[in-house]
Amino acid sequence: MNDQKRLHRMIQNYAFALQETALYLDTHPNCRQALQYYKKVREKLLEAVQMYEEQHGQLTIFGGTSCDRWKWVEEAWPWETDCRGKGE
Amino acid sequence: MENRNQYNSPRDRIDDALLIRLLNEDEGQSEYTCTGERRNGGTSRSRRNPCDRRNDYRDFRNNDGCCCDRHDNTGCGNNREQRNHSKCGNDRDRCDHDGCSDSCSRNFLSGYHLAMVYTPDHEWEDLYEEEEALSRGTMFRALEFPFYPGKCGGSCGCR
Repeated sequence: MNDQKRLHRMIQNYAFALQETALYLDTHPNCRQALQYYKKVREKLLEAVQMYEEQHGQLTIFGGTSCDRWKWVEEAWPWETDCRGKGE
Repeated sequence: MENRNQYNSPRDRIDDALLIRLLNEDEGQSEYTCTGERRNGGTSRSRRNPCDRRNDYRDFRNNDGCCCDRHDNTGCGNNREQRNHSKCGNDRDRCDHDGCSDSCSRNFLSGYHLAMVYTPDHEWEDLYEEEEALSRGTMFRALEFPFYPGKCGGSCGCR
C-alpha cells in the first residue's frame, strides 16, 4: 500500500469513527467521553485530509485548491478508480 | 382470464387458483367452487372468522386458546384447519364467547402501547480502534452481530 492509499484509508477510518460517534451523540448529547473522542478524531481527520490534499489533490469538491487553477477536473473520475476510492 | 387488461383491480388480475387460496386463508371456512365462487355466501365484517391471519401472532405466545394451528388447543376451533372445538377457552385473551368473537384480538400484552419498542441504553464502552471499526462495520463491540449465512454458521472459520 503506497502513501496515498494509506493516507486515504486513514481518512476513511477516521470518518467512519466520527460518523459512529455522531450517531451515538444523537442519543447521548451530554456524554463527555463521546464528545472528547469526537473532538480528538475530528482533529485527526482534518489533519489527514489536509495532508492528503496537499500531496495528492482534492478529496471532495469542497477541498482546498490552488488559487490559480481549478484542479478538480484533473483528478481521477469515479470510473477511473477501483472500488476502494478516488485516485487509487 | 384470457385478456388480463380488461380487469381493473389487482384482485381481478391475479390467477384464479391463487385467488381461491388467498380467500380461503382469509375467510377460513368458506367453500369455493372451482371457478372461485363462494358457496356458502358472503361473510360480513361482523360474521368474519376472528381466527384469521390477523390473530396468528398468538400462535407464538403459547396461549391455550383458539386460533392456534400448531398445538392441540381446546379453543373454539374457528381456525383455518376448521377444527371442531366447542368453545374458545382462551382465558388470557379474555374470550367470553362460544365460538370466538372479535374480542379474540386482545392479547396478554394489552397494557402496553402498540408499536412501541424498548431497548437498553447504549453505553460508551468497549470501542474498537478506528481501523478495526471500519472493517467490522461498527465501532462498538456491543453492536457487532456478525451474520454468517450457510450451513456451518461460521464455525469452520469461513466468512
